[in-house]
Amino acid sequence: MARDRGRLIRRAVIGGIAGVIVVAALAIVVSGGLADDGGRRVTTYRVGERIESGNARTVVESVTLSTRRPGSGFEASDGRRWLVITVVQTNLSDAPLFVTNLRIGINYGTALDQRDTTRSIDRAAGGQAASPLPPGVPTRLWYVFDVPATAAPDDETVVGVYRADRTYGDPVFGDTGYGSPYPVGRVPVDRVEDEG
Amino acid sequence: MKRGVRIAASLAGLAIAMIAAATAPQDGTDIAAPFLVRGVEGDVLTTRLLTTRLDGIELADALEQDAYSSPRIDTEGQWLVVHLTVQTRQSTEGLSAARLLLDGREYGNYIGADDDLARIQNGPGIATSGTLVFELPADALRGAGAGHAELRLQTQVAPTLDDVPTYTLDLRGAHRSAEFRIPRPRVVEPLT
Repeated sequence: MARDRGRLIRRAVIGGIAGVIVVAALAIVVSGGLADDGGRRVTTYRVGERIESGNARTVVESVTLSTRRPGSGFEASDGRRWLVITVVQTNLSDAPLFVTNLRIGINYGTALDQRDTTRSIDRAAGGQAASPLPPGVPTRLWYVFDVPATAAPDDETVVGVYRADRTYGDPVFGDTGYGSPYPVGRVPVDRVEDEG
Repeated sequence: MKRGVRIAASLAGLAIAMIAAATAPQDGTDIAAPFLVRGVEGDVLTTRLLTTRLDGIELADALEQDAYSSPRIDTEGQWLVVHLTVQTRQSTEGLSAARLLLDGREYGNYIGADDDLARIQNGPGIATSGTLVFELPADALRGAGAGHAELRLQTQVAPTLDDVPTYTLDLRGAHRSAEFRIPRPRVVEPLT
């Protein structure tokens, strides 16, 4: 009797382990395997198309190269040029939105991502500050990158549109920070206008 | 008798607990909200940090300033110009976190003007007159709240449990111009 019970228990344990292995294997197969899928897919938009995500609307209008900075007219340093991405940002929320939430990157020559090499964000309509973006007012911004004059575009120039969410620390004293930027759209650019 | 006293005490405790539970702050209640000290144009308001007076408001399509790099500031919307006299009481303070509340939306004052009053940080007892500007949508005055917008002169983004000068604004009757030239802030007679 005791021996039969012991045998039964061993068979149940072995059967249970085997069942778990089978279920896990099926789950891996159904989900496409363990191979890296290259990350989240990002929607592709056209120049001039609206991208709405994270309480804002973004429209990439153009990408230009120039030795003169738009607005101020400042000349680029020797051997350098200004790479300018013109974007219209609209705050769709009910509170002020800072441009730190709305980041732009581009692959041009070296990898110009939105975290490290954005030189500045200028307000095209004038003023010393691009922030805060008021609710409901479309604002044209120049995302200005300082690039070598010898920089050349990659096979496909793509503007990346990112968002960075505000994260709240202490809910009483209002400590805030920003999370890591995440992409919400990619905009292939057929032509970078060279303004000399 | 003792049993009756115990029963009465228990019932009293239960009643107190029920009242406390019913009157306790609910989820979403802002228990850390600022205390608003209210007034209208012309009123001098005194709070812990500031003494202020609202001297007037007007609307403009564009701003002009004596700045070589940015002499003109345009917008797709409209500019609300707020004329103020501000005097700090205890320490140097700034108004870069001022807020305008209109129809459920919150607007921050634009901080990109060279002569913005928000950049001025004079010492206690020195009154300074100047302007703050807010960028509003083109249709902002069509809402029901245009007659009672609220200007909060905050010295920080989250003025937790602090008092804040708060002026009620009627935007519907504000004078409108094509351009408004931002004046340089100037020191004036103290408000108090």
